[in-house]
Amino acid sequence: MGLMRMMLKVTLIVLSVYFLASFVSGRVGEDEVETGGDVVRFGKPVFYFSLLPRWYDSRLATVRNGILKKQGIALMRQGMTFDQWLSYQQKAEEISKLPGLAEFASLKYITEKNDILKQIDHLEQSLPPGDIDPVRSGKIKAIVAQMNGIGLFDRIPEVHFWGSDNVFQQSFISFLSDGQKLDQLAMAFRLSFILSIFAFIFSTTGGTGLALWYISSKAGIRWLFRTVLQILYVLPVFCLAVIAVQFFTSSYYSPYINWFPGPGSFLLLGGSDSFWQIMFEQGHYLILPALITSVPLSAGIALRWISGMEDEQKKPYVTTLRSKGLSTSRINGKHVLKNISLPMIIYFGLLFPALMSGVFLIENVFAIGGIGRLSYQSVRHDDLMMLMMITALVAGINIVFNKGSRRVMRWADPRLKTQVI
Amino acid sequence: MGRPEAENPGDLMVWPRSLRGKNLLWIVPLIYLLLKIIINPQPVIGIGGGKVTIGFFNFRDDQPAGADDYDFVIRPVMRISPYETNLDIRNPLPPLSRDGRGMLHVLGTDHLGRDVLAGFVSGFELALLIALLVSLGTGFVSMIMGVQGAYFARFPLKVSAVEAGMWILVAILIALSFGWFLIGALSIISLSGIILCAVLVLSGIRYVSKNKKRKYRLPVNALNRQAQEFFQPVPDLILLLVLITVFDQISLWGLILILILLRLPAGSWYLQGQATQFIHQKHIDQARTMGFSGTRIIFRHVMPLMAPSVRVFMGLTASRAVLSESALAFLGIGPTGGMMSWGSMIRLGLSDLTMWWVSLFPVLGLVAVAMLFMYGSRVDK
Amino acid sequence: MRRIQHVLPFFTILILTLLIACRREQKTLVETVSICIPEAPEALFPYHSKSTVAGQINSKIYLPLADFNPQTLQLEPVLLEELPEAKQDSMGERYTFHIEKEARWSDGKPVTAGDVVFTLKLIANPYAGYGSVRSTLSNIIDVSTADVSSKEFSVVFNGAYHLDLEAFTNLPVLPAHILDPGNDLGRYDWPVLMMKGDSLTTVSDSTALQGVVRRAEAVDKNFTGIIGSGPYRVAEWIPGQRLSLSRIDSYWGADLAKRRTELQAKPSKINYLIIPEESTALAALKSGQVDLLPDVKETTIDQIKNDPNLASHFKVLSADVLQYYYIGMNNNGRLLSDVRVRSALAHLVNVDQMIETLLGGNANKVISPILPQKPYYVGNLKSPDHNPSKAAAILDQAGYNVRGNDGIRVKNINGKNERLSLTILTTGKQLGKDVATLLKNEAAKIGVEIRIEILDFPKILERIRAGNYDMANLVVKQFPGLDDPYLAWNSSNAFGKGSNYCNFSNPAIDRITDEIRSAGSSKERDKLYKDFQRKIVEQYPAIFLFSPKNQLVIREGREILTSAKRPGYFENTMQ
Repeated sequence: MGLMRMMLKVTLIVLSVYFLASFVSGRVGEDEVETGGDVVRFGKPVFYFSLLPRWYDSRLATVRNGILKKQGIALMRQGMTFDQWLSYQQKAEEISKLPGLAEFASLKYITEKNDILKQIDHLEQSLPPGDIDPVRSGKIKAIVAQMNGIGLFDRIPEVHFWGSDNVFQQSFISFLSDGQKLDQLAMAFRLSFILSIFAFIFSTTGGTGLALWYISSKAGIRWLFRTVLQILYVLPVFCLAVIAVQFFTSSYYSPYINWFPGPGSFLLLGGSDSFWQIMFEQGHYLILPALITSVPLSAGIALRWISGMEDEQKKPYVTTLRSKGLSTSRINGKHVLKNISLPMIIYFGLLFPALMSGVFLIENVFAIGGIGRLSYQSVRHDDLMMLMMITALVAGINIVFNKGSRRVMRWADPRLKTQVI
Repeated sequence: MGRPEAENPGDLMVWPRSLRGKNLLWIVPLIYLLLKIIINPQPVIGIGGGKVTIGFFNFRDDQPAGADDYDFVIRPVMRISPYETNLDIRNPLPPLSRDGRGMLHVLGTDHLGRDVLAGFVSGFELALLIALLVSLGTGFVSMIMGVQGAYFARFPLKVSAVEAGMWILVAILIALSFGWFLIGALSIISLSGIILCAVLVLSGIRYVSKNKKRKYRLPVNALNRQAQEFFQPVPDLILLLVLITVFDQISLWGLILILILLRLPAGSWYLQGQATQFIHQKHIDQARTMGFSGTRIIFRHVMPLMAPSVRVFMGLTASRAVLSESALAFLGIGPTGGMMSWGSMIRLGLSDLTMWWVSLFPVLGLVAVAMLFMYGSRVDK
Repeated sequence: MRRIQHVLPFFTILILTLLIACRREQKTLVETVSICIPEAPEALFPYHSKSTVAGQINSKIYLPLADFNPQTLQLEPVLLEELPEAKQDSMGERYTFHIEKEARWSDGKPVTAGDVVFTLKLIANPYAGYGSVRSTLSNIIDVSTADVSSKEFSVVFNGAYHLDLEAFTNLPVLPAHILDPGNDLGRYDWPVLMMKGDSLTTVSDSTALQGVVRRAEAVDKNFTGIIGSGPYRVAEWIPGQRLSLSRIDSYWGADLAKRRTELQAKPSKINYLIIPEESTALAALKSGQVDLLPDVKETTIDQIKNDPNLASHFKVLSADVLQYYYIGMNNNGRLLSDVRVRSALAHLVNVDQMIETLLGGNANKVISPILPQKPYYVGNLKSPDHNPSKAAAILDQAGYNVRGNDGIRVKNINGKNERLSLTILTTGKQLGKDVATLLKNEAAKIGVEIRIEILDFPKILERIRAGNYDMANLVVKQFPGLDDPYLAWNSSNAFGKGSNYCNFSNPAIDRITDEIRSAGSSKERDKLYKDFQRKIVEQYPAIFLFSPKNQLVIREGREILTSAKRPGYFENTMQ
């Protein structure tokens, strides 16, 4: 049951992002047929179900955009059916092929019923008698005369979930069959995942370590320590990233700081190397960007620990414990820490999904094809399907980690099992 | 980017003992004033010829030197525009160097001869503007949403069957019109007209049926919560990229609006949590029994109590907005990528490390401003 | 508590040391070439891809019938045995082509006349949407072959266009047996597809034609499965990270490669590494895995030259590529339709200073659309010099002699006071932004307001085509061989119909550009070219800027062919 709810939630989120993106990019609401500056609009939203007015025959989708289609749409709006229109076109084409009757071809493009009738009359009159086939042109007139306009009933939209006019379904299937795109998504996901795990580990251990160090440090340097942490928390990572990639990836400046592979060797991985070799080298390369990302995060975590600690210190039970003779470190370690670890677990639960949504700046600088860069690229190239998949994955992970961290909290503190969080 | 929402932003406020209780935010406008007096493309104040020129928040393109005769004028120490290029000197100049015209460039110039201090001030202005507007907008709206959510959670809005039926009808009507709007049969004007009418009709009904029996609860709080929970897992970055890149040209105000909208779910979640604590206090119950209306309780009793949390939240939002904007400008996206903002200056400086001063000072400025906003608001202990 | 805080840092250091110790050294083979490119190719199918990167890569996979020799800049056969002579017959100008006997696709099947016929029909396919290429083939009256599996076919032109042979033979040939195995396009004659696309409204027609197009689109879904006639095939495609080409074994063109650059395959493997940031590419260069860094900015070149360590390992090559930058002006705009305004703007730009400061002197000034490499270039044309006071005088003459309260010039046009305020569109690239900034500042000094708008290039093109712009930073990339100024400067190509982005319309130029296309002799044509250059500069349709050299950084000890032909370097010749 929980799984179903989660999937429903993810689907809803994903569809909303898709809707929003296609809405603002102008795809929802109207379809256009553009012909040399002239635009014909009719309602055909490009969404997960198509709401097509009843007069719109789905076979229109197979006709190429152009002045012919424009006429088809216009005439069908005035009451002609698709089949009638096809036979009208064929007749006009046949007549225009006869010698001297090329002008009849103009009938293929006129969009108003009365204008068509007028043009037929005009053509018949302007040609010398005997050169036209009255039966044929009579037939065309008959087709056109049948057009009676469409009633309100025909304007009502029908929902089309399936079929070639459902662009959403088309692009979804096309995406699933595009092995390269799936590969790219999988690769981006894998790289972002590894990067996020490293950053998660570094920031949580680093932050906690920094907090512990702070606590055991003398009061005199605490303010300096805290200011440094605050500065690190707001430092923009892209500066660190650009500098780091220059200095620490080659022996160019000094062989002693050549700790990580360069972007070149990272990108050259693959091919003949074995799977574990690739994973190892990639992992090695990803440590540096993970370290850079974790600098502000660990500062933030340390600050949270510290402020939590200081808040707890004021609570009456600490005074009680102290008066009982327990040492500071014992109080800190056993009691205070346990009490504040609950909110911290919630925070950790939120940390990983935030990392997964992709730190685009880092990925751009380090030439990693991760989720952040992929989502940026897909927005740039209007690849909404890819964007949806990314959103689905990230939202899914988000929800999983949310639930997971709550479960961990409940396990850590049995009292919470009875509360609704 | 990539930083998760703090469940309790107050956790970050770690106060040095000496500064506790002091409001540090006054430093920011003071520094701004000082900088604008030192360097400004226009006179600080100029009154003359029937018009008044005020040289603040003029970070956009400077107007060419207009009429320079004022009856009363306070001129800046250095009259330089951040966009003024000067290719006659051997650029880029390092800090504290003079150019051919004898003008001192305190922080140096970039490769086109533009003064870095002037650019710094322009970026500062932009950051201030964005921080101010975004934090005010988010704070105000989140506070209302949060308080209203908490209030209706505690004291639900009860409606009669008739009213409930009307609400449902209106909801269906709005959904239908939205669907109809989707297929282009309705324009956005008629859609907003329909929604407006619905709201008016409903309030009218409520007024008329004041004394009827009420059994049903309007799920205001539940809807609020659902909306907040819904938007929480949506990746910030992706939404921001989609909204910004898909619009052709987004103005500065559009960017501010987007930044506000992105922070609203988190803000109302946090403030609703805070408000819930206050709503459950005894004196609110007493006020209810005394017959005070909901509006009065909200505005006169609950909101003043919320002020510290809102201030804290606004500080955090302000610093986050500044950092987001600089990240976008660094990428070259959005309206600030083209202007002289801190993000674009950092990008310029990092693209050629021989002019490192072009990026160093904006970075320092960013860090300082973000820190001041985050830690500078008063905390009552 | 204390134990943890002591132990933690040690653990961290231990893990890091282990990782460092286990680093492998990357082996670089002499026969492998690694190149940095700024973005991934969005498509490799030659008629879908628009970016230079994609064009560069797929030129190693798909070959045309003939192409311009990079060194002599003359048209030479690639897939053909030789360039045929034209013969007049009843239909028009007929060329009979013979494909190289040995020419084969990478799956072993021979390149046949059927492939060429299919390629042309695919371009003409109304569902394919290859609009710009399609229009260049409108002068082909007929394409036919006696036997689709033979190597001989003939094409008839109507003789109206002097670059017919160049345009036609430059098209990359596609494999018919892969993209149209059922010969769906065979049912349609060339004239039907080309001229009467509109009349194909039966459902069966549209299904068949769309099917072929869909197969063509599917090519881009599997890069490693691409079948081409070139010396390389896609060995690996790691999306977003790297594309690797590897040489085809026993390639059919190996013997001909000495004479035909396109068939050369000196490196056995070419790796294209996708690195968006140039500073990171420089870091990759420093760490030793990259051999070639193309399209390098001036600032990076300076860094390399000033650094003794880098300068000893890498050298900088530059090529005078056939391209030029210019500021296009909407000649149909409200304010810019006045040639005096355009001329004033042209006098505001200090091109020499721009070349010096922005490009470090590595560019040639451009005065007209004809570049110095062409034999009919007029060398003594006077370019608008940088003269702000002259510009101010011209504007005074044009009626913009009054200044408003904000200092901007105004003129009374049709009863309304128009401010001389223009907008320039540019992409986010630094060079474009800098050029726009410099122009803007010079203009501000004499009372002209110029606002800068930064947009993506496709959006800029959209606005230009719609006529909704004042000025825009544009680049023109030219082919070797004869120019065809008709495309960019004849009024029939204005207003979104072609590449006359400046919406330039001048009867004398229209006449000259028409006559160039149908000129009888090369002497006559040269005279027309010279006339064109002299006349067009008088009209100031655009502000011509410079032709920057394409600079690339290559590892010391390696050689590569550079030329004026785009992209300026040919990695398949690198050794």
